[in-house]
Amino acid sequence: MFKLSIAARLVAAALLVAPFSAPVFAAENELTVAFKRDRYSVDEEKFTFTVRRPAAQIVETAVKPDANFLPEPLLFKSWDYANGIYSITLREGVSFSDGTPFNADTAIAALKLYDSGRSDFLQIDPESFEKSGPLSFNFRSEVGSSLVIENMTHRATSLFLTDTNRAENPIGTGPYLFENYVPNQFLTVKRNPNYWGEAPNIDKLTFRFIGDDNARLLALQNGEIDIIGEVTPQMLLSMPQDGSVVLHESRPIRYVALLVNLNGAAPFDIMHDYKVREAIAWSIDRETIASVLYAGRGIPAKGILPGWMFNLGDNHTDGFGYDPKKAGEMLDAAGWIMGADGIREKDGRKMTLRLVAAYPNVSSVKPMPEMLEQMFLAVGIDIDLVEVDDSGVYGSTYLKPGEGDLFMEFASNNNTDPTYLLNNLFTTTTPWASYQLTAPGPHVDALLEQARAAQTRDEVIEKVRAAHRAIVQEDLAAIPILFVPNFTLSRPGISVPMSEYADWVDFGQVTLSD
Amino acid sequence: MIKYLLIRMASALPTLLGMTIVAFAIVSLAPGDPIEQELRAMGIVPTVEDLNALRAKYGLDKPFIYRYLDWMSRAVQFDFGTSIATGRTVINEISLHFPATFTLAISALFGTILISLTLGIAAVASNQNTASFLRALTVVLVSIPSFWLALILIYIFVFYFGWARLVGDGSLRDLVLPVITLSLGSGAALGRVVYERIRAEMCEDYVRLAIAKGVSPAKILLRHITPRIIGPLATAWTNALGGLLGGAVIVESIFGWPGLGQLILQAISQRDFPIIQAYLVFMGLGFFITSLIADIIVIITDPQLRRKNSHE
Amino acid sequence: MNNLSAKKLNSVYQFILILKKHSGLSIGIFILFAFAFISLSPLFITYIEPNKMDLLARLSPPSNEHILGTDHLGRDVLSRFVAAIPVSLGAALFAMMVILAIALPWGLVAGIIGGRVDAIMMRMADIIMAFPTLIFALAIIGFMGASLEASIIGVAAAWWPSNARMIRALVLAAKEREFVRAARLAGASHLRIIFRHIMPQILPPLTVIISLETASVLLALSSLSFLGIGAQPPTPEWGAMLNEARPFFTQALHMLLVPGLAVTLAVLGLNLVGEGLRHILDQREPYKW
Repeated sequence: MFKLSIAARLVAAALLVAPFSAPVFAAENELTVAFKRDRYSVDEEKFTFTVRRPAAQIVETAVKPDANFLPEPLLFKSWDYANGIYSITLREGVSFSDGTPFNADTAIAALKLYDSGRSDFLQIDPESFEKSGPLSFNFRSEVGSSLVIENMTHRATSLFLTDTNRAENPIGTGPYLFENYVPNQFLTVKRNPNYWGEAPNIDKLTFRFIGDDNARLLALQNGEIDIIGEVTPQMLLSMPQDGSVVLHESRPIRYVALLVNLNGAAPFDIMHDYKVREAIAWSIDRETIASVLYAGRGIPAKGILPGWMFNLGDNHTDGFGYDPKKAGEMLDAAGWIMGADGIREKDGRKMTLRLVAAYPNVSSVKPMPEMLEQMFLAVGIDIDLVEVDDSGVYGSTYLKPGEGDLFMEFASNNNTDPTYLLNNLFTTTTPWASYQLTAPGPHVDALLEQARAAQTRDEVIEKVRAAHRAIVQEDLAAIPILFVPNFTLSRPGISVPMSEYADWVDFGQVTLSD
Repeated sequence: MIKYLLIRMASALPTLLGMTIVAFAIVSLAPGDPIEQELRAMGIVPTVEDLNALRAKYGLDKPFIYRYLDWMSRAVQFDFGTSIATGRTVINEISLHFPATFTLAISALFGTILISLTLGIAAVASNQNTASFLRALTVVLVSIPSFWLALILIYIFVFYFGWARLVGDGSLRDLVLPVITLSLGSGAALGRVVYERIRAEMCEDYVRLAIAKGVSPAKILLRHITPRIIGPLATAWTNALGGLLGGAVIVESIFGWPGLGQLILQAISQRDFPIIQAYLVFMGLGFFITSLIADIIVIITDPQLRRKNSHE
Repeated sequence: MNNLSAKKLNSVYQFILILKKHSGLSIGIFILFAFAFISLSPLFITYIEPNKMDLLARLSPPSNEHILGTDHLGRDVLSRFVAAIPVSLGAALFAMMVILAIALPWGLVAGIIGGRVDAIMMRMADIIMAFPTLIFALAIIGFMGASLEASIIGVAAAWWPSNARMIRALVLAAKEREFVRAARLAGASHLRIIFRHIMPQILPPLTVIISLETASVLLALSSLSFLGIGAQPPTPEWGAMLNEARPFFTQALHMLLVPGLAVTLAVLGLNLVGEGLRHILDQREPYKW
């Protein structure tokens, strides 16, 4: 009995000491991620501070995108849409980092704050908010859209605590807390110990802004930063191949395509002929381009929306192969006969096409324009290559006035609204005034209008599929070339959970294995 | 003296005004619709009313002269508007970046003065061969493009030796390489000026007299020549400062130095009009202030002018 | 026979002495002639096509096949260097001509007429001079889209005022000479004064200005191309080549060294010529201390 009590006391003592014997100084996990530029805006009408580019995860959105970029619960536990009314149930047990509980009141306040800005993805009618319980409420869309929840995956719609000055002290429900910010230089955040969800691996995240692309890559090689979050294609071409820089990629998401000036005036009217467009589509050696650029991680494209997105599928477009002979025959049939100097002619007119490269800037697609020039020359088309490094010049000097035949673009549908990209680039009613000459016509307008008015998701996707097929196959308003993944670069020993969308790469969940 | 200053400022006013008009004109006539760019970045599908409201907000729906007067009336109260890209006020943005550029420019000025004096005096004071060598060195240094020199220096000191770092935060040790880059070029150019000035003075009769009296070269230089050349030299140095303030854009961008150079390059690519306009006016003001300082130094150091001005 | 060769030797010796006395000028002229000669060399040497891409040979260092190595697209650096000579130097010379076309009349008129006209003209020049060259050029390029032509116009627009000022200063100095004043009193017209009296006087110092300013213009144009807003790829141009070399300079230093040295040498040549000419014109000898 005596021994037992000694044993008992020893055990009790051990139990008391155990917590204190854990290492007092747990090494803090720190990570520095570099981006090109500080794009945060504290303007109340388009507030993006700490929210996107890069997303510092101080605040969270209502829903997050799943693998197919469909919305999945985050702060909203469940939702329903019927008869124009959205009914929302919130996740329980969540609070802001200062202790304020996250409930229907604070959620409605946050959404109203977002709605008061001009950047209005959601277009919720602010008068329609109706609280139906401590953790549930309803609202309506201002424009009868069925895609409001989809649009809530956009980081800009994150929910802030409304009674602080979010430009100086942003408070949210996210895994990180705001620590320090020097405009144009860096933003640091540290772990939120009271986070409701899965704790992140990294204790302290620093986002650095390094404007010069070369300096950014050099800084990685020099060990001054850990990850490059904004990778230019030039970096991929120039990064050392000896393993000192590691490439991480997502699924292919960004497209490279040639937009066609379908409605332009002479001399940029050669492309009005469908046969010419088809011939051009067949003269592009996509495999070679895919192997040379983007570290060989691109894939030949059959469209401009990847098949995995919105469950669109891969079968609604056929794509085009590489067959210069067939292209030559198509051009012959269209009346363009090969001349003695290797350039085709028709009615005394030489076949010269102007290729404007590129949106957003030519450095993001180099040397593809030169490669295309040689491929087109091989089938007898002379190319007048105009390279622009400034999207403003691209838009106002060339695209809008229709001063070109082909416009090379490197972009993506970075929005969960399936109609977003197609509506802005290929309709005659586009709000993006520069893109009026690339619209195939009223049939595509009608399809997209129906898609935006549709009330079920399946209907939306069906219309989008039809419009997409028209654009990249039947009318060939856009000649697809490549799909390219989203990339990050890091030093060895780091694994980055990638996402197709830069704002959803979770740097907090990066694992360090050294 | 005060009278001189006032006259100078008054006569510079039309120039400054002209500058603001040109600055405003350049920015307004440049292509690239900022509204559309902004909308594209925000990723929304706006209605025509939204577009018009945005246009009205930036006053883009009014004719040029109204916009100019509107901007001017606020500018004189130091309200240069808000940055389109970040939402901070333009004054705020400029004050965030100006100290870094100013530090760089002043340090580069010291470097320039040091190098130009060294090269110039050494060239004059030494024998034929060293003098030729120094003059050759000067001419070579002036011919090297500053951005190339910057890259070479980075290769050697950041990459090869690892003595400096690339990702700076504006702290002083990151200043070394950019300052060397800037001062070598302008120091060599001004070394030429120093050399020429001293040589020109050495052709004068009073030098001949001093040599005949047996005064040592050093004393001749210090006591006789220096007071006469300090005026034009200071003018040259202050003009160099003006050039350094405005011309360090490329160097700042290569070294990642967080100054006005970075600000303006970003603003241009983002068509951030308020910032571009304010920057141009700021540069003009800087140019004016530095040339005013140069003129004042000339007056102070030239006894004849000083007398003339203090008697008025 | 002896006399002839002795005379020849003498003149050669004299020539060498002159070269030695004006060593800077000689070297400068030699450099410029060398560039001119090399730029004409494609007429009798076959170089590899400057725009031909050989992607398998990307970034290779100097070798037998590529004497100065290849760039990131596998293009031969030597042939691009040679092809760039007329582009880079030509652009600088052309820009200088544009500058002179504006600055010469401007400075002459302002200097000769004087008074209010002079004040206004110089005021306008001051307004432009206050803008930093780079920003001015960027603005012009914003209008015209980036291209070599746009950068030439941008540099010319930013540079002419300082040249106009220098020419005006020369004109003012020339105007005060006695024979010019005499001609004016005798009733000679402005035009006659300009062409018979002023121009011959300012021409020698003007050549100095021209060569020194062309050097600065060349530097300015290559900085614009370096920023990517001047000569557009695939045009071979030194500044643009330096821009393209930047991402690769840790792996392929030759890509960076060749165009940089080219610009440095060209600018050096022009500076030496300008300095040399100035040296000849200013014959004052300092008293030896």
